[in-house]
Amino acid sequence: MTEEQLNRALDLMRRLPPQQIEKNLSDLIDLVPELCEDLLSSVDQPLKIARDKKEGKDYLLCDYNRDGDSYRSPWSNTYEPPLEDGTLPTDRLRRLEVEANAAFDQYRQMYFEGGVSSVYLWDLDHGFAGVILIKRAGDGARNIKGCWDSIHVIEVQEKSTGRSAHYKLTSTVMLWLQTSRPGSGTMNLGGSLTRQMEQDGTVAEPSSHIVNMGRLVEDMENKIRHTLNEIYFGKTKDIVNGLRSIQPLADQKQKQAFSEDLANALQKRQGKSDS
Amino acid sequence: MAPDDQISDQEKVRIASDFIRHAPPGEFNEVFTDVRVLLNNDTLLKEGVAGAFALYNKDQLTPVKLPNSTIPSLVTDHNDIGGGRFFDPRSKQSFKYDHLRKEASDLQAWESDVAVESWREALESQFTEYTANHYKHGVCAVFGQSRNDSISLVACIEDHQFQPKNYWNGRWRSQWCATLSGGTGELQGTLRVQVHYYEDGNVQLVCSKNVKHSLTSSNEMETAKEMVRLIEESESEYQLAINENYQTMSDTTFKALRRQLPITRSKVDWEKIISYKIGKEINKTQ
Repeated sequence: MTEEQLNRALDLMRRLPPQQIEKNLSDLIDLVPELCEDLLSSVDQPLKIARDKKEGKDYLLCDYNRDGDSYRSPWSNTYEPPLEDGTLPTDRLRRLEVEANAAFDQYRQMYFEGGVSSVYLWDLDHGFAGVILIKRAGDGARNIKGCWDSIHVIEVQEKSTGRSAHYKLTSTVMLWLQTSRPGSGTMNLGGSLTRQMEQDGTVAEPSSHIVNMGRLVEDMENKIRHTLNEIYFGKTKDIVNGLRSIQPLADQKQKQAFSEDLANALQKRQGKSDS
Repeated sequence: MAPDDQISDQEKVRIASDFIRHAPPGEFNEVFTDVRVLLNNDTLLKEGVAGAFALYNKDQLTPVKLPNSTIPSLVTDHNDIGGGRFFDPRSKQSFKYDHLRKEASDLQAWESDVAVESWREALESQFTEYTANHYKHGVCAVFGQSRNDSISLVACIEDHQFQPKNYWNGRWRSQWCATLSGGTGELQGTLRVQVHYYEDGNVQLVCSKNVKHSLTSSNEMETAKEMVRLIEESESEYQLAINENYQTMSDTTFKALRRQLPITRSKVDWEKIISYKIGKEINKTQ
């Protein structure tokens, strides 16, 4: 029963307006408390920002750096509020995590020219997994609020030779746009798209993982950006204009009838001149 | 809250009702089934949540086919006569409405409000022509009510496109209320658009706008024509503004969030990024 309930819960989250994800998720957990952990780990939420006071840097919160009610900063590697024995990556993984954060910090700057990023890694049996998070809020220009949230979950299976690995990426990008203006009232266009990609990569040294993950994430984000553009500003707009026609439909019918008449008349004339 | 704590039945009903009422156009059945399985209590569903079905259908201005008429009507707050019955002023009938099956039955004759009927009919004829002219599958309904010195008219339009096989649904709703009294009046409109796209994702457009105009009312036909003229103007202006916003959102806001490529016009050189780090490490140890 619980697995069917989880499927129903996820279906519901795909249908309810994404503009109220947090409220919907909270209500869902209240309604079916047994699903709490499963829901928190499978439903993507807009990323929240916290401040690492020690390092003077912002970091992003998600289920992967959460332990109880505390969150681990990727900069200081400590929990806020402090935890006695919160889950920490092994030393080897932490070194990779530090490097990954630095690398994706640069990636973020080059593509987003602002915003916040965080990378969290954790061990698996034959490799490791990680999440790369990016949040970029717009500056509110032209009276439009915009925000981009990237959630890239990557699974790295290291081959026994240690010279190659298989990378599986599941990415969700959330895009939020809202405006309130006299002409158009309140307009709220938001939600997310999810895609998956996988590929192999050679591993000469630990840092190779960052190169391989980086390329995969970059390609994925570029693809999703393109699709977001098409869906948000193409598809949904076409649907609106399909619901109501600014041009009177009678006019269009007349135009169509006229061009059909014209085509018929031309055909007749051709027929006459041929014979 | 610990997983063992259970919320009250009242809270469960509140949550289930909220979910139902926020079902995107065309997806009521799917949301209903989800909620039914999650609530896991059909008695509570029937007793506590059934009210939400009616509220949803009325809020959505749900079109309804009448067995003996070619022109559909709408299920709204304005034609709700209680006991699960609604009236259709166009065909002068009332009907029982099943909120789950979305079907009308048990048709009976219904008497219109004589004092306002000539005004209502004039508006209905103009408004129906307007609807056919701008909404390919639009359904409209005009309701009228007379009070002591004033007349109130409500005109609603609903148009939708449901394409679940292509993972999208959309609906437009217009609601215009006019209050006329002694030669002048006020026209208020609420325009709403909702689109849901859900192939490998969940993207929704939720728009609404309120409009106000003042009216001068002479006779029934002239007033109806004036109202429709203002309605056409407002709705087209709204649609144009939405399109303009789309343009600005894509040209300005979206572009400013993430570039297509870095300023170098080529993808990131990841080897360079990590070698820089390694270089730093080497320098540190020296």
